Amino acid sequence: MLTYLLRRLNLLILTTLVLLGLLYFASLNMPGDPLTTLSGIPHPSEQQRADLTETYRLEHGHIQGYLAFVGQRLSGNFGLSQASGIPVSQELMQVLPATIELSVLAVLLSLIVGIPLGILAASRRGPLPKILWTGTLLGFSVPIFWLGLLLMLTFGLEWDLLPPSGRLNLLYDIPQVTGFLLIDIPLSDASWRGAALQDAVNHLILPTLALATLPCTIVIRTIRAAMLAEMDKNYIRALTARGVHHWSLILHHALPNSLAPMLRTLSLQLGQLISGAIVVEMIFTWPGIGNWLLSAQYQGDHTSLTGGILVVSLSIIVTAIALEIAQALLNPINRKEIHG
Amino acid sequence: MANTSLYHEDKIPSPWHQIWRHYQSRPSAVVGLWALLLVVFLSLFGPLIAPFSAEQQATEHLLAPPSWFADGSVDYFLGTDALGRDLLSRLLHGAHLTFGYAALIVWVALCLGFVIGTLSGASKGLQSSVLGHLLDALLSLPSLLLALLFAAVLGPGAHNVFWAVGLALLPGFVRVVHNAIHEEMQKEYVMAARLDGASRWQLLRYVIWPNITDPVVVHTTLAFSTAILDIAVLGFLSLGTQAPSPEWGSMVREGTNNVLSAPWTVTMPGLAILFSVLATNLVGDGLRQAIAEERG
Amino acid sequence: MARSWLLPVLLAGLLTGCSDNNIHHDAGLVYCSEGNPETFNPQLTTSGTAIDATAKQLYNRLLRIDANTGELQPELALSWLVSEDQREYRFVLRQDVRFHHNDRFVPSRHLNADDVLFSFNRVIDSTHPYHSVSGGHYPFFQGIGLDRNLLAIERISDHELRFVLAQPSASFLADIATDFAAILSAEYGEQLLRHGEPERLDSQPIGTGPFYLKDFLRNRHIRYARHEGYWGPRVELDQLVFDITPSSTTRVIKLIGGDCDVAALPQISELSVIQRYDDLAIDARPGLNVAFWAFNTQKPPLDDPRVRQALSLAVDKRRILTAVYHNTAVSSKGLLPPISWAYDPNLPEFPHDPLRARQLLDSAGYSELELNVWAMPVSRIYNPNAIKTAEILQQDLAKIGVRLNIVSYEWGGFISKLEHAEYDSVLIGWAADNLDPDNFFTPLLSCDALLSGSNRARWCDPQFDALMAQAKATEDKATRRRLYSQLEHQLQQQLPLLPLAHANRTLGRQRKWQGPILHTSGGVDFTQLSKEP
Repeated sequence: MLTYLLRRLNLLILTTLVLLGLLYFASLNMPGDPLTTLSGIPHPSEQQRADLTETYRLEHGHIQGYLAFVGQRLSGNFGLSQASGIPVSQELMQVLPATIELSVLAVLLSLIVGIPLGILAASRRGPLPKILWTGTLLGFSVPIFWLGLLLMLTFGLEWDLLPPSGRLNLLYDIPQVTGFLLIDIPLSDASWRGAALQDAVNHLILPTLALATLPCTIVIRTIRAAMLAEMDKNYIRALTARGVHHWSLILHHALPNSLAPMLRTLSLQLGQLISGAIVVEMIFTWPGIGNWLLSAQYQGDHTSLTGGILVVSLSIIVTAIALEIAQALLNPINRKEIHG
Repeated sequence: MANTSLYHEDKIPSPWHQIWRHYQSRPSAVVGLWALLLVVFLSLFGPLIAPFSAEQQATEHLLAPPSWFADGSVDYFLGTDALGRDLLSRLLHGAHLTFGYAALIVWVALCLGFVIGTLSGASKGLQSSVLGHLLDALLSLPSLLLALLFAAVLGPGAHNVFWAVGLALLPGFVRVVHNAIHEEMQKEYVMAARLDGASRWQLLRYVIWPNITDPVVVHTTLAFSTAILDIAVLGFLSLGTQAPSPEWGSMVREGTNNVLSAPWTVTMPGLAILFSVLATNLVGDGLRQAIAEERG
Repeated sequence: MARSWLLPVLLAGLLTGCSDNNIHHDAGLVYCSEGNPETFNPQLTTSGTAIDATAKQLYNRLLRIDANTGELQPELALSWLVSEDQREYRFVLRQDVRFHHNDRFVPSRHLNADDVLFSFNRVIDSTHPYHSVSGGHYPFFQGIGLDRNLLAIERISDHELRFVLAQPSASFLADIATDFAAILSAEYGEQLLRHGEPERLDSQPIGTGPFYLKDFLRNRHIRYARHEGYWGPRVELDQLVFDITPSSTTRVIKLIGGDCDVAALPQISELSVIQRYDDLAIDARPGLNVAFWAFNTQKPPLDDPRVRQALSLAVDKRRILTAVYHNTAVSSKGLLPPISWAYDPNLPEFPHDPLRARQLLDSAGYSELELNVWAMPVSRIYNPNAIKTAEILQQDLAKIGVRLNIVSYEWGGFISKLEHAEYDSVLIGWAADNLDPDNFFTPLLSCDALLSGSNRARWCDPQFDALMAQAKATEDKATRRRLYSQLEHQLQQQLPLLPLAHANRTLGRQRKWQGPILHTSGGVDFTQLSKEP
């Protein structure tokens, strides 16, 4: 097990270095002064220029420069936002929780809905599998920005049921502790926190639905495929022959074995999930990292942009590896198959 | 090369013929194929059919509703946008930007992925592992983040779409080809061919490649639908083709400015994207099922 | 399909909560504004976004312009006297005016003459320690030449001052009643100077206005709270939040969804959408503004008046009025809108004549021409959609063989890049701050305004300047009206800029809020709002 973990760690380090190399290369080639792109100071003075050149070791060749860049970024110095002058790391701390809150809820929702539906879709009788197949095909094919707009137009505006935009009514002034509203609101001591929580939940529904659609279809499909494969296996037949109840078979034997392939597929889809989150944030003006990245891109704030891309990609990599480890724990056979 | 022919020459129908028979037996797949052919046709000849040019502005018909609305007009079948441009014409002119561009990108990524995947699949050890890690790093970057990066370096434009979507698709192809080749290499018939004295090139060309087409074909259809959606998303975020272009995603974006007063400016291009992706996925699904039935 | 199954269940669980959508604060209001203020000191800017977020909320001026009559009224000054030669103005200040406090500053005294001196000296005295803080540009004051015309301000007593002008100026009182002439705290300024952080004066403001600034998060929101020691009539709102929402569609969506009580600048095509909801209303006022297409008159080929004329002749204003303004704006013949008292109804409409345009271009020796037009990325009062306007111009000019490339940046970047004047032409406009007609000319077309940056046409013509100065110095209204008409005629010949339209100012609001928000003179004001019982 230890070697296995070491190998994963190795992979994490390698990928991070490759990623940083890519971003370093991109930073040097972006329009504008590389010093500005790296540090985020719009018009550095002579003194600042000298300091920055030293910090980023720009006069010592690309290798030294790259190593200095890696050192700065990994120690948490992402430079200053060119648009606001605030450290990028500080801005990231403000926007990241909103995105994580939304994404985690969407994944949870897709699991809660997807796993039972996946099991139902694996049954060989009745019209349900056909309906679910059509549903997942649609869910696969619908452009997420369009789905988001449609949800907003119908539930938010036409029927006026749910707030169509934003994260919380701004009159609720919630002090930021963790950045996760669903935690911060109960933590606050305001008398109106019940109403605020209700408002936060209402604001969450539409973006979560839009974002959960794709992972949900993926969960349904992989669970269904894995269940079908599993139910054909000999041990299931043997158990059926011994008179074990159908549902007990599914819940105690087939389902646990189907979770591993589902996790694998989901971890491959993390990038799609983040892309989706960025788009959903833009549509519902959700104050998360997606909106922040897009406005950095629009304003030509390359320091924020590269910092944001780094953090987002790193979180994708780390989550993917964590999922892989979880999956290995679920199914020890996998550990042997993995070749580093 | 007749002497390297290892297979029986029975009169049974060719595997592709059989797959086609399975395919035809699924009505949804056939419908999907027709729909896909329609989209292909429109992206080739759309500009010829379109009643207006993509840029022509009818100032007296701003935000005209589609023809089936009470105050719609047949001249502007799907209605007009905020500048009085005919939506149908723009959709037809834009088809090759979204759909055709996706085809191009998938084709390039497929060819490159095939080469790299073969190289890494046929080699062993460190070489394949390093390649794998590089690709894993890329794979962790979704096309959207790549596009943000490219747009920052190169400035906004259609070339970002090419690089971003292409690079995001490439690792998938490499992985599929790599895994398929890797898997085939373990099999006994390959060993038999090798013992027969087949060179590495012969082994690949005549033994392995014909046997990995299934996963590659299936993955290509998947990649194609991903590419359409990715291009549309980039257009929607205006990271790709810019404002006056009738790319479907950017049409949706322009429509969002009027989504309250003229929702059709958003729904129509969205439906066009949905339709073409759905057609692609139906075909892909049908193919996958047909291949499974044939092999199974 | 997954969704269809899911939605009803979730909704059923939540609808009970939805009906109970009452906000805890009955007296809090969310205003969906269109952008980030660049500064919290109105002296430093002419941007409507910054003025909206600062002037009427955080500060007071010596005088104010009555929202309905347009007459000057006392604000921080109780009374004023003008000397015989029109060059000396004496003000008596209120004595009960308290400043805001925040966690770094607690005022030890009420407003007195020092604060007025501090505020104006910062602008007019280049040796003042604050003069060059935050850039040292005072575009409004420099644009109208007040920084040079105001010779000195003398302190007579704690609550009396005298302003001395170099030249008599008919618009002086109106000028210092504008939103830009805010009164800051001298004590706060000194404290910040001692701590070596003078920029905070403009980013963490202390004023005397009805609200104080609680916090500001870029791209997110500005929070204000009621200034409990406010000297003026009691304000009913105890919380005011600006929700920074650049997309006008999103603002209307939030208005319908109930997260905004008031939404700035709805798109004109969305007005009918707002009207569909019973609980929403639209406020509209004829605007004291003008949208124009400014040519960079210092950059060839646009330094040639024939080229400018040709380009202007090619423009079909009617199409812009329909497509961009949905016919809710007035086509402009000149800079002054019809509601200005100096407006000349006999001024001819500038013609649309592509044929002559082509001839003019040929005679100027340009068979082919490629130019760029910078279009604002955000909607402003005077132009709801500059990019769409630019696309129409692009088509019109293509007809006379001129290629127009559209350039746009994010608003903050756009404004700062404009200063470098690298553009060929720019689509922008002007929202006036007071009813004096000079406000439409000197800030836009004077040589002084070249330095302050509000002269987008980079236009500096001594004869034009002299005429503007004359019109400004004259006291008699009939003479002034004649002079401004002359200026408008000259403008139509020289065309440093082509006026396009005068837009109505509109905003959407929840009906439950009653009271005026929009002023004729510009800016938004929430002090007179109250909630329907």
